[in-house]
Amino acid sequence: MNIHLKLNGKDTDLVVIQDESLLTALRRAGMWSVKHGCETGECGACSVLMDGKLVPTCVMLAPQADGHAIETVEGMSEINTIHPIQKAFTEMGAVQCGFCTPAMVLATKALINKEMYPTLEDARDALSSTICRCTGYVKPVEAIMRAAAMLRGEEVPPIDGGGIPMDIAFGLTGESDLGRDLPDFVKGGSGSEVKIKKDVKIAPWVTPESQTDVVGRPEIKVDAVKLAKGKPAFTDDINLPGMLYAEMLTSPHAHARIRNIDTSKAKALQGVHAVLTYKDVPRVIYASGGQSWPNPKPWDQVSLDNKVRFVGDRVAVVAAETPEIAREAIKLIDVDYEVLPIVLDPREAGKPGAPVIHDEPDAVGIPDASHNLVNVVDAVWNDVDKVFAECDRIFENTYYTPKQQQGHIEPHICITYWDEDERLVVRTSTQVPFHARRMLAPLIGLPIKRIRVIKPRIGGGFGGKQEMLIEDLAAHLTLATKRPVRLEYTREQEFTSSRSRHPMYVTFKIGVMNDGTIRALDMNVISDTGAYGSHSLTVASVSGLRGLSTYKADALRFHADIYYTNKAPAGAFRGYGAPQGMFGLEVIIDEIAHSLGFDPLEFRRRNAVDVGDHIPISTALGEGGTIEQYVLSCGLQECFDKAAKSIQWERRNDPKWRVDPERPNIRRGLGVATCMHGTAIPGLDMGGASIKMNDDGSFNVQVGATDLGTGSDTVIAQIIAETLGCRLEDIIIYSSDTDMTPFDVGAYASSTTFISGGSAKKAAEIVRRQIIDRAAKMLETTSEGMYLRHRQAIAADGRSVSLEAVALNSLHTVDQQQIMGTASFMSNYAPPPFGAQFVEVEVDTETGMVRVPRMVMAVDCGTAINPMTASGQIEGGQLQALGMAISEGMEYDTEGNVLQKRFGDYRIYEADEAPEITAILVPTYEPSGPYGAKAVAEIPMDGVGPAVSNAIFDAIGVRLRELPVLPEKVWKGIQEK
Amino acid sequence: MSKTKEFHRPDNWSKAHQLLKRSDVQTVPLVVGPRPIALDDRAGDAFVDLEKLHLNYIQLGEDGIVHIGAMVTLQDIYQSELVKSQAGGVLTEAAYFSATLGLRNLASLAGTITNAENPPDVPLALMALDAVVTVQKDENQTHQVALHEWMKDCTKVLLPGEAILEVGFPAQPTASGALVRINRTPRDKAILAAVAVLYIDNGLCSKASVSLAGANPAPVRLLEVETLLKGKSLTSELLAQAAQLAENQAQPLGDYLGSVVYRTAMASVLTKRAISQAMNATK
Repeated sequence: MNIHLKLNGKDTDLVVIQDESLLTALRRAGMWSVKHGCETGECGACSVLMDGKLVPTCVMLAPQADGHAIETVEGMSEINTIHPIQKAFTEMGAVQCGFCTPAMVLATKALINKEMYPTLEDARDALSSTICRCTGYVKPVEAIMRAAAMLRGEEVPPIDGGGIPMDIAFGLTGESDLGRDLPDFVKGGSGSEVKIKKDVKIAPWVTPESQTDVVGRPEIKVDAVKLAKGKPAFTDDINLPGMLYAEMLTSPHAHARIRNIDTSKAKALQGVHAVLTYKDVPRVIYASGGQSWPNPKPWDQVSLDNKVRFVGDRVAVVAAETPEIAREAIKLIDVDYEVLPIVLDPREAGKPGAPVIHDEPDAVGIPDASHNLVNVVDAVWNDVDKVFAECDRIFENTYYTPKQQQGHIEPHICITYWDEDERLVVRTSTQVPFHARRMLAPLIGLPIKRIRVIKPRIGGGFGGKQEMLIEDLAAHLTLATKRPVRLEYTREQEFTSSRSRHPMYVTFKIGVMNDGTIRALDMNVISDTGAYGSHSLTVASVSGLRGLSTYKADALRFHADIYYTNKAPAGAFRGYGAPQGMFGLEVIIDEIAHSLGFDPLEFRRRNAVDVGDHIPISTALGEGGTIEQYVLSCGLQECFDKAAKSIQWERRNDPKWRVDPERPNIRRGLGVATCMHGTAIPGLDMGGASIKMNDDGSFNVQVGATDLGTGSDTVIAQIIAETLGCRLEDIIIYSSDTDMTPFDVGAYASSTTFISGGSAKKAAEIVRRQIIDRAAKMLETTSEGMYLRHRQAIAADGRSVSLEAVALNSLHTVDQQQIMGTASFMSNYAPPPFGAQFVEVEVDTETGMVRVPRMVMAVDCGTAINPMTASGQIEGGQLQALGMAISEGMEYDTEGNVLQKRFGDYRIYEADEAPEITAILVPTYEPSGPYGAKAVAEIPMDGVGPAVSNAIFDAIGVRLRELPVLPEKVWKGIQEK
Repeated sequence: MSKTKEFHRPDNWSKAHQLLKRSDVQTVPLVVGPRPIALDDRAGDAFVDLEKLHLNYIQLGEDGIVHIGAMVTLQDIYQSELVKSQAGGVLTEAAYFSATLGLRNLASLAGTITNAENPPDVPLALMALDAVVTVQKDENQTHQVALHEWMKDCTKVLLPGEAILEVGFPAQPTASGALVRINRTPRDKAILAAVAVLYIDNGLCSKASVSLAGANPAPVRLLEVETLLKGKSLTSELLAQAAQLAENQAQPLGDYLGSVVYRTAMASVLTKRAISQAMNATK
């Protein structure tokens, strides 16, 4: 049918199908900014303005727009122009992955059209319709206030400042610091007296007063403008001729064998091009976790199997002319299931008589399939039992963390097609394009060289896309049909068939002396990997690594048993085992502190690791091999200081603050948790970068690094710009295309700034040397003392030549040469970032409801290459972690059906209910990282859960050892007190 | 192959009724609630958009009734000064907590009271305001159902050919009201919720309306509680009795958000709290 509407101010006629969504119709009309994130109107990514009001279009029929005015961000700006609202979002760092940004921009427009002087409350209400999993809403709210000021014609302050002292940036590390030997104490064992040696030469142009020009500054993200303008930058923002639409048939049973499957009716349906089952694709065993070669075992999956192991498991896949036909075909597939018994609790899965989930003979590397035991991890340092025997007190308790869903707003989506060279192109929303290519090849029988994986912008990942989750199915269909194929998960499938955080039972046993000295830690884990073992080994290892690294001790022991259950598989999720381990650790530390009569903050200060300390458990639990780890930089004590001051830690001792006369059922409390994470996987993670100089003195950069919204493209470009003495806009960065860019392991393990940034710095230093050498010749001087700054090569005598002149000289004039450099970086060190997490709670003593008015986190991430993006990570991470603490936990019924299949039921914090979130950066200089940087991405996940639990104890004296702290759990604790 | 679902936007009740009463094509009014159902999952082979039937009014009638048209959005309710002036703005608050801005702009009153999975706040507030649903049976005939009866099984009240015309309740500008909720996060759908609307005259409760959700299979009016409170001074002892009555009446279905034990106990807590807050609002 035809509908007539005013689309972005223009009278427009659209031909629509009468029962299709307005979202579908608008995207077909080229409004790529309108995004699909769910089917129930709850994420808001599909929002537009209809007659000036914000509405979600996924739950509207296209004909409902007939006669109305529809606005999208495409109508807000032209090429080379940007609307003040979009500008404010870019300047304030409100754009992370950018998938929800157009909806936020429209919400802002609707608000300001109505109210030129919005309050913060107005701003939060306006943003409430858009779930943002990246930002914690802090910077989007600030962007609204800035946009309103701009639109009122007010002058707004510039977003500037920062930088790090030049003598630190260039003097301490010299030109080629990365990969050099680290200070002596690293080799000689522990020793707190040892200081980092400043033994490198200081360039004469460097003065302590001068600051870096690009590094350490809040530069606008290199992709912010296009994302704020809603440009077609994501996987699905493309229309290929002849593209088919894929749909998956998934299992309704948690455990069943497929006795027979009949696809004849589905194949007969007009418009269906392929129906694939286990009968149609080769049986190749693999592991879906996106990890380095060889993938950790077990290898327990095949593309399509004759057995299903959880509700939502793959059964068949269809490609058809339209999504509707594909969905219809799915209904026509007859499956004869032999339903099998199930086990849902990992504590029951290993017991005699439990159903065996992986009884297939060809699985590889399952230690004890007959008892559903996926992996066992053991690590020990010194004689734990002997030290326990020497301790004054021993504490032991078990802690549980739930199955949390990543909840990235862009679902998993992949488009596959043959290119003109008959190579398979995989355009996919992945965190691991290079791993995906390598892992995909054997499944579809193509050599790696015939596969190209392209990662466009990603609408969030958080580990959920560190998985080769759907690429194989789309590829099988393209091979079968010879047509482009698009496969996308629905939101419900994200809950039923995707990945999640591993639920864990963590038992800590800690021996201490009465003077408050921790002597020994024993950590025991039961982990639930669900139906497949993806990431199960390494996640559990990281739980141990993080749980046993934060505090000094004389002996350490770790044991983990990881079990299969008939639930959707767990996988990678921001934090990667650390939040589970740190929850147990930081709650039991609080319990010990209280029991011994210490202030919990002081107890942590006393026992936490510091510069020079050895991390002995890392040798046993490191994925990259037995590499000794030490703390080379640590700002933890300063983090404690600053965050405690910000949260007003002393209030906990004020009885008047702890109660509210207006609300006698409310008790207030404060909680703290120490955070310590890792930076990359030592001895394993590697990234490459390639730089070439253009005629105008700009640079093309190719990096394998995978920017999933965190801003890694930007920080890499900043590192290069600083090294090459140019501005950020002189760097044109292209990332994550297996044909075009160097290898990189991908975006995980908090590695990108450190590893990929390290490779970028090394490559930039190669280019820098070439520029200086040529400039010296042009100026007929020596390169001694020459440096690059302000787009100039400046000689020691003050004469200079522009980078453009150097480029033209090298490309066209004398001894023609492409100035370029390529480098890779791998580190044997995984410098830990540190953090102090504080949380304020209000507990309703009658109902058990917990409210969190405020969270403060101070983080030592070394040098924050971009303080804006770094603080954005800390803000967003805290809110994601708060979700796990308060509301997010996937629950299953007795048949193995997940109970939360939509955002509303699952409950992710929205803008108008999020607490006040503070991020404090505590600068240190990490000698092993580019410009002193270490990680920031994952550490915000680690401390909120335990800090909430500890704050509840502070408020009401009830100890919660299980997340999320649903009202009934707290209420029960109060009843049992 | 499934047939494409029909879409109709009639401009009068007569046409709408002709469409809705069809027996050969399952035809339903196109309404969206604060917890929308995915388009693919919506029942019906044909949708009738009621946009042109002028059902987007909120007005105080000469009959002393506040009339809210079926297609009034939750945002319209939230922003209405008339609604805000009733019973301390309890319905305003309920509309706000039912959905975020975008869904408030889309969700209609009709959509809010026709799906039991929706947040209970607006139905609870309306129940406590003695709301009555007016149903258009055909182009000339309407009938009315008290909302607390309607909500016992809100998905089965409408018959083929029928559509909600409006919801009305007696204007109650002098009443006080309170909405109290238990949930995981402040805006989360309530695990339990209660609304109290009170008239306090000279220290006595001349009329009380109390509704409760989450403690029974469907939201309920606590009629015994209302009777108990009427004509009395709301002492702490009386509130405790009221709470006990609510608990006695509770027959909840437990789930992971709240067991039977918890919901039963909270029926008492929320009932007392709603009454207490409404009482305090009069001071």
